[in-house]
Amino acid sequence: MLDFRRDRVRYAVALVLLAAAYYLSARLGLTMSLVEENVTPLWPPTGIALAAFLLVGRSLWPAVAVAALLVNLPISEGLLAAAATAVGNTLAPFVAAVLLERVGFRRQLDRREDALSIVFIAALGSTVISASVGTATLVASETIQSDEWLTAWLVWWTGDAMGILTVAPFLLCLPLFEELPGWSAARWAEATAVLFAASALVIWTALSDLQLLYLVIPVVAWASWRFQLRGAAPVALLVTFIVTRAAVNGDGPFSEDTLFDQMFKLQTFNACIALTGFFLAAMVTERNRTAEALEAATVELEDRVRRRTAELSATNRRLVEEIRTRSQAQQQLSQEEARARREHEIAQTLQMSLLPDRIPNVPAVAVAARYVPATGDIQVGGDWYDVIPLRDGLIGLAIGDVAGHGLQAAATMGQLRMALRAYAVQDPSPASVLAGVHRLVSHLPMPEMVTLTYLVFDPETWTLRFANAGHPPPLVYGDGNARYLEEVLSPPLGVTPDAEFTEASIEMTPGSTLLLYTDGLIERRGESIEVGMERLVAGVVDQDGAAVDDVCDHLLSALVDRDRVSDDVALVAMRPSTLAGKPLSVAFDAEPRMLAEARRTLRLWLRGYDVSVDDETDILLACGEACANVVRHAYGTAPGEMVLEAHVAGRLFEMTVLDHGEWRAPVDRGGGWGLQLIHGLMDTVHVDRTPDGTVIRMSRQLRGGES
Amino acid sequence: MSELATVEVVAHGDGEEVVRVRGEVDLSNATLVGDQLSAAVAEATVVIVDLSETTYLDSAGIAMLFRFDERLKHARHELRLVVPPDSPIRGVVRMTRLDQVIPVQDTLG
Repeated sequence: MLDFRRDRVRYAVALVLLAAAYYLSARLGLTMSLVEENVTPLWPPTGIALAAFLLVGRSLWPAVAVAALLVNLPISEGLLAAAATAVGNTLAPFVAAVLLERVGFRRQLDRREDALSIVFIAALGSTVISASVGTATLVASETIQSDEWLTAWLVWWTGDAMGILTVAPFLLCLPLFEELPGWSAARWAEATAVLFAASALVIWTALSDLQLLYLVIPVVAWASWRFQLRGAAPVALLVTFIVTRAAVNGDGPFSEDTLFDQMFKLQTFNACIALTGFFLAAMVTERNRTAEALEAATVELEDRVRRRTAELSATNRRLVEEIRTRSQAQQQLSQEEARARREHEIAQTLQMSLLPDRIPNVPAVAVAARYVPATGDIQVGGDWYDVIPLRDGLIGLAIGDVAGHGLQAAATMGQLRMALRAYAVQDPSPASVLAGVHRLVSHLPMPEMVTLTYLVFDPETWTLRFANAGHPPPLVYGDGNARYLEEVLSPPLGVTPDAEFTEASIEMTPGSTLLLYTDGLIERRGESIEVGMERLVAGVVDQDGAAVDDVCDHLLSALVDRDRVSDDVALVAMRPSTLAGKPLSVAFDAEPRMLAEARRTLRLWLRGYDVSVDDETDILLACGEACANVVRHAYGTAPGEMVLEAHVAGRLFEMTVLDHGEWRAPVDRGGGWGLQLIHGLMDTVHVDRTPDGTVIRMSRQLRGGES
Repeated sequence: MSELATVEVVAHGDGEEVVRVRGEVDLSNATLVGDQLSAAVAEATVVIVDLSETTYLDSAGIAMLFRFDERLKHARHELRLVVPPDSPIRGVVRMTRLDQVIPVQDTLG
């Protein structure tokens, strides 16, 4: 609609045009008047006014009012009558427009309710106003007789109604040619044909005496069916106009009728045409719209199906991709796991292989050691212990822990263990050994923190010297006492550039046991280390008499959950014993370096007896030659053991050296003097060569003398 | 263990060289001691090996001394040993008749 407040010029033009159209159509309508000069069966201005109100706006009412007044002035009895009629003529379309808007009327007339609305509300309803006002004015001004009022009212009413019913839809359909999709040439041709057919048919039936007016209905239906409002409205207008002219002229079907019959026949016919046309048009439009909606829905559905299918296949692809990624991740994970497990195994194997494969036989000192690798992931590695036979019968004992776990820690541990052995051989002093290892740790490419306790035990004096670099203190227990060796404690190795290590010493007593361990034995998550140390003391309280191997096993089962070892555990137990007073029986590795050990052990043992220097010298030489024999001939290059047994009964000294090897043909390196010497040194010598090995039994009467 | 025995030159001059073997000589270190002796006395015409502080000498050590003596004799050099009468190795030296092949004197002097 136009906004006339903004555009007064266009408003004025619209007013003028509407007034002109109203006036001219009124003049045309009046040419068909049936009652006097102002009541006609077809009153187009009302339809024009309604269409203008619906299309442009009700603000155009002044044009209608003025035009109606101008139309009515010449045919009314005075200005007042003309004005009253004009008011009625203006009110009817105005009220119709208001009511139609109220019920949601669509000027496209494309729904059945629109057809119903324009027929009943506008055409038949609102025109009661104009008919009543107009008839009342006619009666009041005595233009007609009061008994003529019903006929006048009916003609007025139907005239206005037909004006609305035929003219308004025609005018309303005009904008549709602009708004709706245009017609092809073929459709224009068809539309023209329909119009001609309708014209020809209705002219013929309207002029013919045959009552065949309704023959035009199929043509109207055709127009509605094919072109909806744009076909029905023009045809209906044309047909009603022609038939109304015929009725006014009394032509054909109307020739014999009274005025009332003419009016009745005409208006019934007109109503039929209008209703048929518009209803059919509305229904077809609705049907078309439904079909279009259906088609659109189908297209939409297809589109949605296509989209959904695409979505589904995309989802499917994504799913496949995700499954692939996950299985890759899974594979990667199991590869990770396998790698971690492999590293754990390697670290464990390395760790095991770097630890002493067995504890060396040390006479008069019982030593046992255990190592339990951590069970979890790669927590293994880094702990180590060592038992090192040193010169002069000293025994070096070491226990340490390299910070960190895994291959790196195990490898570092291996280096440190070898280095410590080298330092210990060079200088057995614990402080000096720690200083040496500290220097090495500090010069590692990646310095690690290392805790280490190193001790040296002298079996001759029972002195235990020790130094400790940040390691849990060793425990000595026996005779119901237990104490940690906490006299000296230096910082861990590798943490300070300049470290000084001090050492302390204690005398061990017969029956006492030394216990070395790593933190895995005493530490538990969420518990102070003191609690663990107390637990260890409690664990050894009844282990005085137990063999050192049993002590280790007992502690591991009491303090460590073997199925869930969170940290490596290393454990060494050492218990010295006195040789004196009992028969000697010791085993040595059958290696050249152990010969001196064997002699020293025997010398130590002999001190428990009254043996002269000469006896001792000869016995030691005989022992040395017998042992050298084993080393040279028993095992070849394979490792083996030699066992030395000795006892004294009265003044008779008896000694046995045996092995479990095969006697090999003597290689002449010692001039073959070994056995010869033994024979010269001892009173009796028996050599038994059995499949199980060789046994050399020797005896000698102790001669006394200088001791 | 290692360092069971040490070999050191204690005096030399006038083609005479005194080498002292201190400690124990057995199968484990006899060859090493022999090599050390050979190395120490390369230039000397008279070699005196002082065994006064040798506390143990087994058949391997004896054999080593015999071979050492043979090598020196081959080079027309002379080997003499010092073994005090109260030395623990005096017995083995006598038993193996080493003293009948190599001159053995009681003291360095």
